[in-house]
Amino acid sequence: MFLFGQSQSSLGKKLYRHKGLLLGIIIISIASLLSVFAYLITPDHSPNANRMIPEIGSKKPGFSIYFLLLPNANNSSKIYSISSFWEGKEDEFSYIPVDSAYEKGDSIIYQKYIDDHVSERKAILKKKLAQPFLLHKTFYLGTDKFGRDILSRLIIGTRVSLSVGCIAVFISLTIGILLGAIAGYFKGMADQMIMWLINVVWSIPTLLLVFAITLVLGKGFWQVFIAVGLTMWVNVARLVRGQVMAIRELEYIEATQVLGYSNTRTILKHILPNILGPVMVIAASNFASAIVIEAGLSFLGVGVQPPQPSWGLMIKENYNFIITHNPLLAIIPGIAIMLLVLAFNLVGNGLRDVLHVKN
Amino acid sequence: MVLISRMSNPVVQVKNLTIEFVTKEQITQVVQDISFTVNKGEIVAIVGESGSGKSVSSLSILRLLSSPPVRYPQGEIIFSSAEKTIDLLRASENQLTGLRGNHIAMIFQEPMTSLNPVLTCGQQVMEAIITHRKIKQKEALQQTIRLFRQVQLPDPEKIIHKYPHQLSGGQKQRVMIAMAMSCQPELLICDEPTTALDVTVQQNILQLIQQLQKQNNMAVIFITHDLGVVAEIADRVLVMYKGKIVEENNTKELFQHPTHPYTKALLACRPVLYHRHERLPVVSDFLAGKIEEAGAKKPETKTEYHPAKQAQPILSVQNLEVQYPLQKNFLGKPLAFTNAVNDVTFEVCAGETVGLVGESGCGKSTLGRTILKLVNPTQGKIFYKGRDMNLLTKDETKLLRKDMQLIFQDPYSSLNPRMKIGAAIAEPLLVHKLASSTRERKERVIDLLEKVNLTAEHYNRYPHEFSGGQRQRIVIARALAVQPSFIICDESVSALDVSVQAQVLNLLNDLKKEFNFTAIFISHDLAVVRYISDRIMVMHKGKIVETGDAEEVYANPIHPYTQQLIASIPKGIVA
Repeated sequence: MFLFGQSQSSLGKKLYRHKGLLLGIIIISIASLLSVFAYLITPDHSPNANRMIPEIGSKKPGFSIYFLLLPNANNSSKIYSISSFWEGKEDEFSYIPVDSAYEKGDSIIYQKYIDDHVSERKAILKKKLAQPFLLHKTFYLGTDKFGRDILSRLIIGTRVSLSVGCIAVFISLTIGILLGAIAGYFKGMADQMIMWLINVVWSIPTLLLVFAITLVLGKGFWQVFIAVGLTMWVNVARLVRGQVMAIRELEYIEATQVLGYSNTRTILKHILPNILGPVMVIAASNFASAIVIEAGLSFLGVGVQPPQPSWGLMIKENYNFIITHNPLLAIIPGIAIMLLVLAFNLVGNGLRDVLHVKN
Repeated sequence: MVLISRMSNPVVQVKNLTIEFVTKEQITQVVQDISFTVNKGEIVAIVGESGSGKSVSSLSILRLLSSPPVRYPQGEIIFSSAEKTIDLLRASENQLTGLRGNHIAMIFQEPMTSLNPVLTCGQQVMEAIITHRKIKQKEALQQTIRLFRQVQLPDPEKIIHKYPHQLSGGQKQRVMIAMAMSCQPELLICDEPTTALDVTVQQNILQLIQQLQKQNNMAVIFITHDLGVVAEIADRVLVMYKGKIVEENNTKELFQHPTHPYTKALLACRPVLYHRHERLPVVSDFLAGKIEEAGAKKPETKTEYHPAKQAQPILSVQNLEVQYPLQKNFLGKPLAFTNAVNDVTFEVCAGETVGLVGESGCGKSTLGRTILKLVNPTQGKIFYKGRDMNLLTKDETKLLRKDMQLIFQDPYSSLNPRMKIGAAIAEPLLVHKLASSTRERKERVIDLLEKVNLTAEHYNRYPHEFSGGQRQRIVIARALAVQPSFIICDESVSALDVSVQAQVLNLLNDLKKEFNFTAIFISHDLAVVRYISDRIMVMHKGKIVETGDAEEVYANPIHPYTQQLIASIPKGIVA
C-alpha cells in the first residue's frame, strides 16, 4: 500500500475511520470466507447443495424434521479430500423424512412424512439403516420446491457472485487499462481507432453479447464471466484514457521524455500509479454491477445453469411464490444480492475518499 | 490636513484577528493575532510570501473562506460605511451578501478563471449591478458601457457582447475591475491582481487601479508578493511573515529604513540589485543576523565576464520555424497556422549562459522545447555539437537525452507524487545505465542531494513533504544525475518566492561553476535573466528582436520592444 504516498499506519487509520468503507469490507470479507469454506459451512454438503427431498418442498424458514438415514449402495469413501472440500461430497445416505419412528424387533416402524398432517406408516429392516439411524435437521431459511436447503444454496451461490465479479473485473481492467492508456498516451490515430472500438462495443447490449458468446461457446458459468468482462472494459478504458490524457500534460511526464525514458516505462511507472485511485473506484463499482448483471442473466436463463446454485437462478426458480404463501424463497437471495452490491459500492466510495491524493 | 481626515476615517479595522484551519488531525494557526486599519482613500499593500497568511486574512474580510475548516477563535473585523458599522466576523449571511460586491469588492489573481466562460462580459457586469442596485436592464447596460469606458477597454459597445475567451488577459482583468467598481465600493481588495499578467500589461493595470482609487476615494487592500509592485502603488505597507505582521510603515520609510530582518531580507534578495553571478543574500542570513544592513554586501568590483572567444558554438540554430495548426478541415488537414517560432537564428557557445526573455505567448518555451526535440520544427535546422538534430538515429537521440536537460517551471507538477525522491533521482541513472549497482546508484543519488543542499535523510521522502524551493532543487538534482553538458531552464524560478528564488539562483550559479554546463535560461523576468546570464536574447512574437551582452542590453536597449519591456519593470525604488 506504500504506493499511495502515505505510510501504512495512516492509511490503516483512515480505513478504520471511514465507517462505510469498514462496513463494506466486513461484508465482503464474510462473503469471501463463506464462498471459500462453503461446503464446510453448509448444512447440505452435497455438490451444488442439490439434495432433493420432494416431500419437504417449499417449507418456511425454521422448519425442522427427523430423517431416517438409508445408506446409498454405491457409496465408496468417507474420507474428506480436497475435492470434497472444494466441490462438495456425494451423499452417503438417502434421507427419508419421518414424523416418528420406533424399534420393533429387527425392524424400524416409521411414519413417512408426505405433507403436513399426512403420513404413511412403513417398516424397514434395521440392519439396512445407518447407525444412528435418526437425524434431526432444521432448515433455517426454509426449502425450495424440490426440498433443497435454501441456506446451503445461498452460501454456495456466493461463489458465483464473487467469482463473476473477480473475473469480470480482471478482464475489464486488463483490457480497459491497456487500451485506455494507449489511447490516452499516444493520442492521434491510436486514440481514434480505440475510441471507435469503444463506441462499437458500447452499443452492443450485454444480453446480446451473452447470446452471441453462448452461441459460440455454449451455455454456462464461464461464458457469463467472459461476456460481462467483455462489455465492462469500455467503462474502464474511457476513464483511463481521460485520466492519462490529463496526467500526460503534467511536467513530470514531460520530464520523463527529457530524461530519455521509454514510453512503456513512463506509462507503467509514472502514469498508471497516479491514476490508481479512480481505477480502483471504478473496479469496485464494476464488481457491483457484474454481480447484478450475472444475477439478471441467470434469472433470464442464459447464465448459470441448474443445478448449480446462483442467486439470480434462485430468484428465477422461486419468484412464483412471491405472491403466494412463501415470498421469502425469492426475497432472501434478493437481499443477499443487495447486501453484496451495497458492500462493493460502499468500498468504492470509501476508496475514493481514502485514496484522494490531496487529502 | 489630508492626513488627519484619513486617520479619522477607517473603513476596515482588523483587531487581534487569529485564523485557524481545523482538520481532523490538527489545528493550524495560519494567522496569529494581527491588527491593522485601512482608511478611506488609502492603498495598503500586504506583502508576504506564499503561506504567510496574506490572502487568508484578506479573504476573511469578505468571509469567503468556508468554515469549517476555517475558525476565528478571536478578534473582530469592523467595517464602517456611511450607513453602518458592522463586525464582519459576526455578521449574518444576509448582511454579508448585502455587503459583498456592493460595499466591499474584490479582484482575483486569475482573470482567466474568475469570469464565467458561457456569459458575455457585459452580462456578467450587468448582473452585478442589477443584483445590488435594483435598476432596469437598459440603465444597467448604459452603466456597464460607462464602466468599460472608465476602465479603458477599447470599443466598450462591442466588448459587452464578447465572451471572456475572446479577450486578452489584461482586458479580462479590466472587465473584472469594472465588475468590482460597478457599485462604487468603499473597499476594494486586490489579491495579486497582476501576478498572472505580463509586465507591460501589469503596469497599465496598476495605473488604472490607482486612478480609480483616486476618483472614488476608495480604500484599497493590495495583496502581493512583489515588492516592486508595492513601491509603485501603495501608500502604506504591511509585511506578513508566518502568520504575523512583522512590520508596518508607509512605503517610503519601509523601503528606505526597514527595521525587521525579514523585511530587510526581502528588499535585499531581489536580483535586480546585484551584478551577474554575485551571491544573493537569502532570508536565513538576515534572520540569523549574519547580515545587518540591506545592501551592506554591495560589491566593490564588477565581475566582468568574457566568454572564451575561441569556444566553438555547442548549439547552432538556423532559420528555425515552428508552426502550430490553428484550424483543420474535416480530413484533419491543417488550413491555417500560427507561427510560434518564426525564422530564429542564433548560436550558443560552450560554457556560456544565454538568457531568453519575452512575454507569455512569444514562443520562448516552444523554442526551448524544439531544441530539446520535444517539439518538431517545421523548418530550419538545429546543430548540437556539430550534428544535425533532425537526422539523429534512435540511439543518438537517447544519448542526446543524457546530454541535454530541462529544468521545469512548476516544482509542484514536475515530480511524480507517488515516487520517493531518491527513486526519482536514481531512475535516470538506471535508465541510462550510469551506475553499475544499486549501492553505487544510491551513493550517487545521495551525492547529488548533497550537491543541491539536501541531505541523505531526504532520500526516502515523497515530494509532497517538501517546500517549493526544495522541490525545485530536487528537480535540478534529477537533471544533473545524467551529467548533462547543456541545460535549459524554462521559467525555473518564476513560481518561487523571492527569497527562495535567491537560493535557487545561487545554487544554479554554484553548480554552473562546478559542472561547467552550458545553459539557456528562459524567463519573462528581465531582472532575473540579467542577473544569471552572460548574453540576453529578447523574443517578441516568435522572433528574436535583440541580442547582446546582458548588462549592455539592460542598460542600453536598442529595440523599442526591449525599451518598453525594461521601462515596465517595477523598479522597487520609491521616488
